[in-house]
Amino acid sequence: MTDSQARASAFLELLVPLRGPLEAYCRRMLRDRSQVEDVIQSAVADAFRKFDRYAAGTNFKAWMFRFVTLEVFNRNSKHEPIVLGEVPADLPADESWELVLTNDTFEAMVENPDVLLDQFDDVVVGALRRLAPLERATLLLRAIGEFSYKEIHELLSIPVGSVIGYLSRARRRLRIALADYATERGLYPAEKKGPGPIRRNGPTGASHKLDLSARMPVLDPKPPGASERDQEGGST
Amino acid sequence: MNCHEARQHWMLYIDSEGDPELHFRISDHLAMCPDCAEWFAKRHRFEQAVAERLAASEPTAQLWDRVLGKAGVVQPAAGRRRWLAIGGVLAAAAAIVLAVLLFPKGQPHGSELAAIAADWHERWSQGAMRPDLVSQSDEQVDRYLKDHVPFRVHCPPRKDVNFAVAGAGVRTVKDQSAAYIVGNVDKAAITILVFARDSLDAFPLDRSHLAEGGGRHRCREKNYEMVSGITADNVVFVVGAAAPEVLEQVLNAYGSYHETEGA
Repeated sequence: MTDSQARASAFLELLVPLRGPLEAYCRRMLRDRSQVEDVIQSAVADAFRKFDRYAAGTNFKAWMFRFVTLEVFNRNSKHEPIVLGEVPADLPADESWELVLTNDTFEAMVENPDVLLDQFDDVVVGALRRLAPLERATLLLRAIGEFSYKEIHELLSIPVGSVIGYLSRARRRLRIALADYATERGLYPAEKKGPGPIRRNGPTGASHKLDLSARMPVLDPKPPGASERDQEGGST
Repeated sequence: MNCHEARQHWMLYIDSEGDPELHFRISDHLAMCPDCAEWFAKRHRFEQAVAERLAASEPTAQLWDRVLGKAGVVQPAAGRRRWLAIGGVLAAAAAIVLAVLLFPKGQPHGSELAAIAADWHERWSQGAMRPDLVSQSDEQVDRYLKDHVPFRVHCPPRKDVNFAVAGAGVRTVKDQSAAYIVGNVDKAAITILVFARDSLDAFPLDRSHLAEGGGRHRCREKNYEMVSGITADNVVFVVGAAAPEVLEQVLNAYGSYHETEGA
């Protein structure tokens, strides 16, 4: 076996178990689903070119997801430039649980999710589309990639606190979208204790603006890895 | 820790994140508070169910074959390539000879895509090919196609034309993605082959056939009847052992279902 064959074989061995998650992540992340193959193609080609810089034994999954994430952000940027807005100051405090106390549909949905989740794809495509790019990314990296907050922080180059904030808001928005969908279609017939309005506002506490621009190579139109090694996911 | 404080941190707890001390305190509270324990368990199950749905996807074999090939990760050996090329030429020659023998002059027959549709149908109906997805659920097939086809494709025609779906999949023909849906109408096996409308650029002969017929074309390939047509998004071939009128109904139902549903 030549060196190049051994290199390809090693790359393939690590990549094969990730094909399903990477493809699912790409499909859910991209605004234009017809670009799925192009994005995976670019990311895989880029990662394979830079495979020499991958440190064996480190987190290949995070390394690979980073290439795909950067490529997706670049493609989506035509439709949705990443705006680093306000992140709630009280990040760990997720108020969405209050929603549960005040909305019967949500309570029924949590009690018996299968009724709704059978129609999941119909609603989730639109709901994901309405999330901000970093909300969508944190939600999907957690759900599909099963990454820890720390890994997501390294992968997206945003502080852990922001990961928590984006993830919390993404989950809440998704739940609200699901509850709205269930209500509109009467999926959970009422046996009501009383109608409870769904809270749509974010946490009401003070907020502060985070300057993330310096940490966001995703905004750089250059392909990943065009600059320093850390930005290629090598540190993950 | 009271119920309010515990529930405030539910996300960190179910994600096994955050300060270990916080986890211990929440765990202590849950051990003493059955209401909160049940509340946390429900949230946890719900988040898990959502995550599973988000993640649910089998890799598309054809897509990854192309990706790995183009990325240079997988390269066919030169010898294998040469034999594949020789085999391709021989297969093409055999196909031409067969076509001349099977289709006498004057009999209306299709073109490149029609031949492919007939070939796929034959392989499936004779058990030589298993669909990527074997399912009798319209919804499952619809979801699969939406997840795996890179262009807009309509769900299978349903009960209005007695089409009972049996499976679906995705293939590539001349670098063009194609979806196929297999099923039966009154026990007659039927295959629906669907391309993106702009794929016709790669098949000029089919384009001219369809253009001549005002967007519709009937033909016979191998031993199968076939109808083809252009819808708003797709080029659709319906092939099977059923009468052309039945195939026509399936084609009509394919084109109209989503418009009726407003999807």
